[in-house]
Amino acid sequence: MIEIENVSKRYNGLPAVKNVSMTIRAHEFVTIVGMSGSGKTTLLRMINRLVEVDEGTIKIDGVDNRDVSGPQLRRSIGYAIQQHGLFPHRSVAENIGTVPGLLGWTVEKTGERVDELLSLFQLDPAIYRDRYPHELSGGQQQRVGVARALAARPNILLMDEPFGALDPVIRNKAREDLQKIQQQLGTTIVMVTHDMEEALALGHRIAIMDGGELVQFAEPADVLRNPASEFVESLVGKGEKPFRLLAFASVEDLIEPGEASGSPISGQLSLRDALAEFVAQGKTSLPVKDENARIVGQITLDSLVRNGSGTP
Amino acid sequence: MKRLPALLRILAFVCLLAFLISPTSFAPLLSMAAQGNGPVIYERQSLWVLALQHLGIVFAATIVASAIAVAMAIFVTRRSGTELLPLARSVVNIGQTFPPVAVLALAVPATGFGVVPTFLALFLYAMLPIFENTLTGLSTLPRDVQEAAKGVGMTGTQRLFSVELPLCLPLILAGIRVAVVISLSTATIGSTVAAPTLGEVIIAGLQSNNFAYVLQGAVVVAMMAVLIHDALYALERRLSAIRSA
Repeated sequence: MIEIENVSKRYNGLPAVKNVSMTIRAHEFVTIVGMSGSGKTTLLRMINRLVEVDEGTIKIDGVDNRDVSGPQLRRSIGYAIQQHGLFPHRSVAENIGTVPGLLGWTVEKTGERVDELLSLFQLDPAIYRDRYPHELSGGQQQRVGVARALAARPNILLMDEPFGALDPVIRNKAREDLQKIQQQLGTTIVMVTHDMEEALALGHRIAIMDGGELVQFAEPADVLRNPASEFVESLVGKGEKPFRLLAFASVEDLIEPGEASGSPISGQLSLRDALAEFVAQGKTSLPVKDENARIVGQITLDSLVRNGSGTP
Repeated sequence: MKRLPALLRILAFVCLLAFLISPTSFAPLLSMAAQGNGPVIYERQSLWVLALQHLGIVFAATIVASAIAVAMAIFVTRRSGTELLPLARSVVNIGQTFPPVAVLALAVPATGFGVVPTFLALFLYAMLPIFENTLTGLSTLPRDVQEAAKGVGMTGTQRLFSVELPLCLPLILAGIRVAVVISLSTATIGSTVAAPTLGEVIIAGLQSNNFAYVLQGAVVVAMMAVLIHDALYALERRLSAIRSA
């Protein structure tokens, strides 16, 4: 758990973060969104004390983060950045083993952990262990960067625009992988992004920063339905809002008995994708199938429109 | 065809060794440059010994200059030392602007003739390229790498020795290479104040109007400079091949 209490930071007299308070629960995935200069990165960097707070306190699991030295604190918190920041003169295994090395793990234990992480990130240890960063693709470098951040099994992982340097196709895959890993490991993740789409897709809760202030901190659907200010509304995008809400519900929720013609769609599909299917197939009702491809009912465009983006 | 430069270097190295071990076998070749029936090969001191002494002075000066220049560059790039950067810069610049001959002339009254004034001149001259290159290296490190080094929890010292210096190594080495090559040629004038270097052979040739002496001294120095330059350059390229992300 991370408790941020009345935290402020000024640079040359100008406020960068103004009196922010928020509590991030254990195992939670929180995204911080805002424009550049909104103070989101500063807020993130104050958690592992790459930036020191001017006022207020940040407690991690109830302990003030100033109770231990900066380097010691940072060894216990994972940190991944946009340009991955891999050490170019060190092999992949050495990069991932950085924090275990600083913590004095044995060579065998570090080696096992490196192989475990490489496998987790779908990189064959036998092939990639001894490569150098410049021999990897952008997506692979990014994965090694995150693997390095997770090497010493931190409870908390801080990420600053981790997918910013990736091209769109790889970025979507990287997001999905991160979500899976987060569910698997239960790591608390705080991720900074300027991309609302990404924030909505990944965050259990979203913190929206504007001009150094925390404007709203709520679940994605809540942010969409009840934006706290004009600014949040503009960030979400008025035209996009209904479609984004549709993305939070799935076909299963609106399934009804009956038979429909057309090619069946999966019950797991989000309503947003289902809407696309309606348009693509030119139908107003479609059959729904379960995981075993059995038809279990139908969904109608009518119910999607009526229930999809309304209050549940 | 790619092997040709390597072959030429090996050939040059073998020729150099052969000449130093047995200069007299090259006498027919050099006699064309000699004056009348005068001596062809310098015999007052073994060329082999002179070459080693020459290298010894150059290496000693470069090693000491490297240690001090790198330490200074590290110091002025730390937070506590930034204020001293202009001072350090002017000190090494003065070292470079003073012509080595002037350093010799000024040093002799204080230190006497021999190795010491030459060492001093070479040392002062070598400081600038090594200092400037180390400084450039340390102040142009990729930001994301530095950020990551802090983020993983390295202390200042750990960052310096396991990230910053290793990443600067090719640049530092380039500075050392420049310094060594300059020093190898500059060391010859050390013989004007009685330092035992290959300059002795050249000066003797100039004094007695014996072009054969001048030629053998100059060619040996030039060959050493070229070979050492190439060796350091190859090392630098290997190191930076790994580092270029």
